[in-house]
Amino acid sequence: MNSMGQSPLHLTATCILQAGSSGIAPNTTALVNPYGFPMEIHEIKWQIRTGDVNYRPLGASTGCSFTLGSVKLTNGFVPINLFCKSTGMTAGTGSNVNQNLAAEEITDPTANFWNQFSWRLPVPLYVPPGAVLVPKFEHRNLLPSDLNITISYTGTTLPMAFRPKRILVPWVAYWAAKTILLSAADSDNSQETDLANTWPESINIQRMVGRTLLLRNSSGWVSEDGNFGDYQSDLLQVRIVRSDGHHIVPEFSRWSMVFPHQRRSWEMRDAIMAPNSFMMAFIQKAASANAGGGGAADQLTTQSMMSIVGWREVGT
Amino acid sequence: MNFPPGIPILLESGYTTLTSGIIAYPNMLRLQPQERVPLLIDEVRFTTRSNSISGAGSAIDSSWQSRVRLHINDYDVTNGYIPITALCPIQQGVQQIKGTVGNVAGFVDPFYVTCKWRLPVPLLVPGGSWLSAELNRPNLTQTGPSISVNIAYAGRVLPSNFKLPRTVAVPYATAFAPTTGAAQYISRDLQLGNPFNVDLVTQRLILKQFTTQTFGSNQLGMESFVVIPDMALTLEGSFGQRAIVKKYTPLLDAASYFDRTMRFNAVLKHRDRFIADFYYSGGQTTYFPVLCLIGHRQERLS
Repeated sequence: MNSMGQSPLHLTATCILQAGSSGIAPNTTALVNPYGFPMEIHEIKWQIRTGDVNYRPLGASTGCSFTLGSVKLTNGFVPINLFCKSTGMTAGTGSNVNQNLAAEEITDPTANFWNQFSWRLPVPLYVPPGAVLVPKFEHRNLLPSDLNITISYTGTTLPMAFRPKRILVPWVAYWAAKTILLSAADSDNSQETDLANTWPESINIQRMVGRTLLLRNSSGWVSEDGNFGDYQSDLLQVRIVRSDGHHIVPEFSRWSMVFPHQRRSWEMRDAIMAPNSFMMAFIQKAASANAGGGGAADQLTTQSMMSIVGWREVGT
Repeated sequence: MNFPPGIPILLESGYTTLTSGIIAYPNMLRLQPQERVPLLIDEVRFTTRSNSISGAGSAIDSSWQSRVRLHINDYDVTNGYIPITALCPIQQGVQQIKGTVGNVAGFVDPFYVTCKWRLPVPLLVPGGSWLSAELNRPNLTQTGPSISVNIAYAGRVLPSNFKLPRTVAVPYATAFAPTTGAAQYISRDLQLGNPFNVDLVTQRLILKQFTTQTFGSNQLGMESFVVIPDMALTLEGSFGQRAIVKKYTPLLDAASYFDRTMRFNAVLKHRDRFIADFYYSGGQTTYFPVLCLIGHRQERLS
């Protein structure tokens, strides 16, 4: 799409997501182009704060859905960290050098833990004049605390008469496996409706994102890919097949080889997903020798999540 | 060339164990599509793991001591066995993940490494062929425990009726990787050059440094940035002699600290080569550099 060199534009809205709430939208009027022109969105950014020093929100704490008019961009509420590849891991200090790979985490002494994510859209999203890309949020109950959400759109305004020749729309679908005790061996698989292309058009895949969470239920503590003697994503193996029988990952393969540690993302080029098709993901996890210490209430659980991020051409 | 859209695929070999001085083969049956269809490989991924971390000298740098040779039919993708660490830039400032052996300031914990080589061009593997991987571990005086290496290819499966082109772009990686410490190193011959009869289009140099020292109770041979050598780089060949890095320059000034990479696009004719000259001031002899030149050339399909 030719954006014709128009003015850049940044729009921001905020909301408070109470524990257990779902379908919460921020003030969407703040996300409308204030000049009344059409616009295209290039990048979507999120910031999540807990306001409680005990909890790390991570992207997994919050689901986000997008609709533009009657067009859906997401298959339900997608955890925010499944839109993005990891770009800002912290390496920790001292004896934890290179162990503490908490993605996108920033510690602010006045606001406790907060996380920031950025999704550079695979294609610019055209938004007609007066329309708005509506985000809604879901508290995924990984933490008991409320969450402060800020969402921003970065893009450009377009001339009033501009109409794109092709309408390209992003699409994101995801699957979150059941939680599994870190000390236990177990398996799970996705359903036909999870990693699905529900549209009559092909999806051009930008990336597949894979994240593993570590949860300590007694304290609500949540981390990502923690180091507890056995690196959890090395214990985890995944196999992925398409609904037409083709293999994406033919053999059970280590999670970290499919979704490399440093980016948590399998970046793709010129990969497609057939219309009205789905992928099935199967995971199997070996038992960890380390349960996390403490009593039964302190036992650690792990949850694996993956997504398909891509785009489709509407009306072809 | 432009390829049609394909179906994503990831092929993983599973772990292969390397002891000192041996050549081992990963499970190639797992590294090719079950259907004999054309495959485009975008990335080669590695996990290397030292199988013991207790005892003096046991926590070795698993990605430096493991070497890989990649070739497809008669076409070399690597110039013999190349340290896995030399193929892969650093991402997010880290390459290894699990640091249970503890760390020494200024060194990268060597125990468990995940890294990937995003090929400079996608590698077309015709149906029925495969990208062959061979693993090797040099017989060093400081051996340490066995190493396990996992290798995976990430790419796309093309339609079975895809018409193969006459020529294909083939990635190429060639390294200068000494294994013992010295005060000065100079690369030679075509260690960083083009041995082919066709042009080699370069993408980047990866520059890292390792040490023969032991640290703490058990760490050995880590990647290091405590003492950095000065480097001069010269391009010799069809256009005469041209200095690329004119004066001795600290290694991590020549290459970005954040990914250990110096990017440049150049066309090397047959026998054109880079000559790298490293110099450790103060006579330091416990460090050694690892350089890898990465590019691609066109080859006619046989």
